[in-house]
Amino acid sequence: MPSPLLQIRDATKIYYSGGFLGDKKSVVALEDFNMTIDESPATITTIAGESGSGKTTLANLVLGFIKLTSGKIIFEGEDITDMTDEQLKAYRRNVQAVFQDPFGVYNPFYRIDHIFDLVNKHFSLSDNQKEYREMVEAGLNVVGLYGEDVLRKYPHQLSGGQRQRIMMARAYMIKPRLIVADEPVSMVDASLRASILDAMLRLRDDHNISFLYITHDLSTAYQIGDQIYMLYQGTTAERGTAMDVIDAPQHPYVQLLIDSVPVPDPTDKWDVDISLPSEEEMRTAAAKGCRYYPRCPHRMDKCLVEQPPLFKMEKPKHEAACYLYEENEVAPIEPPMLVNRPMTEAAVATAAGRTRERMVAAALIVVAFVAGVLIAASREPEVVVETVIEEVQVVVTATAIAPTEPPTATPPPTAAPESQVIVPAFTVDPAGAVDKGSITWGEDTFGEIESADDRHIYTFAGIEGVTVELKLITGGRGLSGTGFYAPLATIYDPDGQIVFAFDRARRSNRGELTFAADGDYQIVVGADDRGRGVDAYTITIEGEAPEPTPMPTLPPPAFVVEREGAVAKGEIVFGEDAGDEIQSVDDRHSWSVSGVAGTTAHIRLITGGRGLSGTGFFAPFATMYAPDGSIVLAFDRARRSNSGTLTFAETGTYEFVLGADDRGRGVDAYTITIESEEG
Amino acid sequence: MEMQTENGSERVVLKVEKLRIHYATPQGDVIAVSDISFNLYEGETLGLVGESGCGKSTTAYGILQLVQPPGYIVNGSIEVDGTEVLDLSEEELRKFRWTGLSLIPQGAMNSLNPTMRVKDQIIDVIESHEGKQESKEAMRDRIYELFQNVGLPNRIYNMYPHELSGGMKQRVCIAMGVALHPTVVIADEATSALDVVVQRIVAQTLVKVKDEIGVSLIVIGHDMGLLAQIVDRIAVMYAGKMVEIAPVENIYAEPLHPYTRLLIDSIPSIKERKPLKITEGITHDPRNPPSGCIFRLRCPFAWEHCVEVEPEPIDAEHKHEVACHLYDERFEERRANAFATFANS
Repeated sequence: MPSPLLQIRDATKIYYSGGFLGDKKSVVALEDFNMTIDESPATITTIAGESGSGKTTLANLVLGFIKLTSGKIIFEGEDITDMTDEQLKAYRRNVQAVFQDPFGVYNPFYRIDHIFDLVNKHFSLSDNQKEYREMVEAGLNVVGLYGEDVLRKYPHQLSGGQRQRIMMARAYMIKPRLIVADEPVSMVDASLRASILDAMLRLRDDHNISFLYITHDLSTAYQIGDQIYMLYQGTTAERGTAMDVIDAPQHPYVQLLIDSVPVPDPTDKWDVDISLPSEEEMRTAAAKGCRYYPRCPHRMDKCLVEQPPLFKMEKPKHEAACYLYEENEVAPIEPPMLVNRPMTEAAVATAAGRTRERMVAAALIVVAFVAGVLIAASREPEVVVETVIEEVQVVVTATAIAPTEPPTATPPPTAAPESQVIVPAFTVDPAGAVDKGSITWGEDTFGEIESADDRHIYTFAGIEGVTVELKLITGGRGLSGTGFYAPLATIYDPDGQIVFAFDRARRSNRGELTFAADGDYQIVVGADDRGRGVDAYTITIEGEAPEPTPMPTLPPPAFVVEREGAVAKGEIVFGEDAGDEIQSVDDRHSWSVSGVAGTTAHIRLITGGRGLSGTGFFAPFATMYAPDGSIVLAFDRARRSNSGTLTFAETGTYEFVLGADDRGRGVDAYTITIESEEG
Repeated sequence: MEMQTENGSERVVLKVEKLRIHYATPQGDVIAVSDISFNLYEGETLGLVGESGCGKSTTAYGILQLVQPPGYIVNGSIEVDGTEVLDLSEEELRKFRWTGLSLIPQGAMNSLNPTMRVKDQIIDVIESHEGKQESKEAMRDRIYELFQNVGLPNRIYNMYPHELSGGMKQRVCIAMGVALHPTVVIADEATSALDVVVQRIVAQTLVKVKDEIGVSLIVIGHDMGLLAQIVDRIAVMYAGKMVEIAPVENIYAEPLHPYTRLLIDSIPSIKERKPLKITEGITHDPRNPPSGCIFRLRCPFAWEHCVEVEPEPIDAEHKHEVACHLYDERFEERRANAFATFANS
């Protein structure tokens, strides 16, 4: 298995705007995006999509211009958010950029050689003038240029194609592993594009430099691209080799897109007219489920329920996110691979001197764990148990891992450790929620972490959407700035993926974790990064406990309220004083709203004074149905906002249906405000 | 002679002759458009294509009499339906725009007034030519009809430009361009800033409106793929010169001018992976163009004759002209040899 150069896992970027007193608006630019670029051979990975699909966001994330809202970007095994300054510096060297505008990046007052001088100054390529000149010449030659032709010229004396190739030469001189090329040919004349594409191919084939090629131009992607990711509204609609995807697109959106690329053949003209739904439909109806639903000719009811995962197609690596293919296997998300961080000499010595037995528990876990783990020790035991965690499994492993062994095999993380298993020391409150509580361990209890190979494993229940604060304290001392004297601890989600790590890179003994799914999470605690044992520690987990859920099943719709006439400025207010509340998951309140075609209504939903906040969703689900029963607006978790805009496509009675919140809890008061212009 | 052909009638609605436009610079004039001549036939869609800086947009702005200083028209004649545009006074010209000639500009986002509602901008165009309209309802119905022509929903009537998507704004511009049923509409890169699906919709709208309203259309662009889909004839410009003009089927099947061949060859395909064909860009100084043929510095077939004599347009076929010595009968043998050698290399 080739080792990855760049791994992007569950990358989500949300932009927030507005909202001092009111509600924040958020735009999800990229959602749960996954990608792997192998280290060797170098490849050109195309990211394609229309404007607003998230492709430039992705480029900016990889270049480190902006930060992820959640997820990971791992470069050569290192999570870039956890990098030290030194690692970041190396990262910036390794990942270079070439931008769209070959005019804007040049200072018109300087000759071309100035650009190379700046590179030399910034990256200290060479002190020797002769050697440096040779490097510049070599760089220019790679992209098909010669120093004598371009170096003494001013930018305006060169064509767009030459300027873009000079940017490639500049990037090449720094010897990066990856070049992020954001629309590098779109502002260059067609007859000159080939020279830039050719330069990319040479850098890929002769110099093992990979490209992240961001473009909306599918034809150039088809000509030079290896892998392609077709983005639609921040999610991957389809991916595979550029040839497979473009020759035989499977996702309905990608099919339309490729059919719309004008064919340079007047005898092969477009045969059908296409149209798009109105802007509002495109934005609102897709709040949940498949983003392409409003435009899709094959849409099904289930597409509204949940965003489809990537399903495997016939060709290897070809995957499409569409329920048309739900009978196919779901493409697995490859677990992220983190590399072994360099150990201090002392640690290496200690590790080497230790017996190496293989711990059965997930080699992957182990590797990632070891990667993170090896640090220093603490003494004084301290034990506190306040509230608890349901079924905390304490597993003290007697033996362990070979820390230096590469992750050749990947046994499933469920394999039982060859160890002493001590069953739950404490119980938890019946809600099973992650609660305010702590796991405390010390020499007074059972065994300590005695060696680099020892592991303590705890299991606790996580609830989707709940955010907990985590704190790890060792014998009264926390993890200080640069010195790390605490055990390494890693949290795995129910699938065995690492979702959190207290390791050297973290440089803090605190953290925050939002559970992406319900299920059992594991926290694995090991020796410190010097390989020294730990004899006492406390892990504190503080989260908001969900309220207990009364779940009597009540008869359906409590009542129907009519509001007469056109939608006007007005409110539907409902509260416990008014009578029945939404008491269970099966309860529904249904309101009829008269819509007038062409009228745009602004709709806001407030629950007991609280709106839907950023990530936590604590309001009833509400859905608006058109007279024909189709969903036109939905307040749900995906929406992440308690307001929306709806333009009535036709005149008639629209139904607004409210249910319990996303924890299944009842709602006892809410206000729906509808503001609109009369039609 | 009035005769119907596949590509519309033979009636010429726009006749451009020897149009020459310069840009004055301190170092001397830059020749932006160099003595170009062509006809636009009734009901025809003509594509005007070339690389950036070839003078295609300047030609359009010249026809519309919208060349801004330091640009100026040196000589030429532009006749629309028998009216010499260059002889019109400012006042006559103002009236003539929108009714005789109209423009759908590049980058619709910047050409609509952000402070005026869509309806008011269209009403403005109509009333500036037809005077104040009595009936508000009649005006509204007229605008609704325009919306229908370009596939816009009526609800945008009261909206401001910022409330519309790029594709919708571009369609508002199309609606304004055809509001007064002009003889000739010029669309300057009208779809180039749009996503491919939206581009397709706008391009199809443009052709549909042209047919419904019965105007003649000049589409300026650089995307040879898109032009293949929507135009009847293509005029290829290179460094201010028109090097070839031909029915669209001919030019894609068998381009004549070496530059046209290069343009067609450099269209990346999404059907077949081919080796890249690499060429360099313009290498001459636009203030001081080379003698003889404008393309000779980049042309693989150039010989002494090309240095000495500037090629004149040669009729290759009906409505098909090419400005290249290779198509001169005297050099027929050379042409056959040149292409054979080129094909082998």
